[in-house]
Amino acid sequence: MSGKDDIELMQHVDGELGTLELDLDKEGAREKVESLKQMSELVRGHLEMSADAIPDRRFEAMWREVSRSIDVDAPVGVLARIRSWFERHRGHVFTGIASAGAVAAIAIMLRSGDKEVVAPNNAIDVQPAALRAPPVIEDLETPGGNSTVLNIEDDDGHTTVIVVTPADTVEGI
Amino acid sequence: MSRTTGKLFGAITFAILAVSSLAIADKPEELPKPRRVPAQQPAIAVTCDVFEVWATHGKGAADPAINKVLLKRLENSLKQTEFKLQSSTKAALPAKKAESIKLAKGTATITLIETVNKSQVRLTVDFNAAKGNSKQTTLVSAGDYVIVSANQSNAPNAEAHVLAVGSCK
Repeated sequence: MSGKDDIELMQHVDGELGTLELDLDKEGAREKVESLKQMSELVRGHLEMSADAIPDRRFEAMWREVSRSIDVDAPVGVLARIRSWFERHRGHVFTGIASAGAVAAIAIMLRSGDKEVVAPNNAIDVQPAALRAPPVIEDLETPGGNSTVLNIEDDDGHTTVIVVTPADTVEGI
Repeated sequence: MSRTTGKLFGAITFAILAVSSLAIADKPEELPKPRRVPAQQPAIAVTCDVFEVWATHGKGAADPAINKVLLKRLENSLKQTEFKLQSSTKAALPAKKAESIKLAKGTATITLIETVNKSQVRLTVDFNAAKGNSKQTTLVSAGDYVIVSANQSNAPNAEAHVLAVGSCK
């Protein structure tokens, strides 16, 4: 079978020969037609699956591009163009705004962390005198001297008095 | 989206980020200044009143510069009868840092070791009086006083160099 015959067979499978009759009784012609049909089915199925795999959003974008290229009534005013631009790039604009918001939120969080340096007005609370615990002397050194400790309590609270006297003399002399 | 449009979006996004960051970075200056402490300095935890008094025996004249609460405590606890204020300081005490107190005579350092139960402070007071030394660590409640009276002799009419630390808050 010649190359010309193969082309005719392919045209026959594609339905391009119309009503013209083709001799399929030639050697191997019928098998070739069957093979071509199967091949055509495979290619069509693959293309349909590829088309299904494309997200709808991309299709919409593609259709917008197509309609924009064929649209003779495209917006002509400045405002209309701006609106059209925003409509076409709405997703990107929102992405930019969301990113800026996220960065602002992080910056605010970092700034609020900085507030830990702020000192309180009162580090300790002054309780009423009646509720205060008396002072406790935990360690006392009076080198070269003697010490006497007094604890006095009155309406104003507690007072611990440490009286240091020299050790080298005797009181009253 | 064409490459030019992508670059344009990148530039716009970057500009928004930069402007928002700058706007936020400027904000801390609007915080109330009295409550703001520079990050490099340790935060002041406690302030205590420190009074240096010279006590003598006399007619009982009181220095009007001494507040009534402290004067009452001095009169109730010491043998001396006349008290003259030598110096007074409101000491800001960072935690665990010895703070030198300027006195008319002698020297003193006070260390805030810690605060306890948000109502007490543990202080170490090192007092080198005109004559006589003492160093003690005391747990004292906010508002109360610790008074160190260094008698200059053991004579009945001995004068005393007094350091009063208290009214911490």
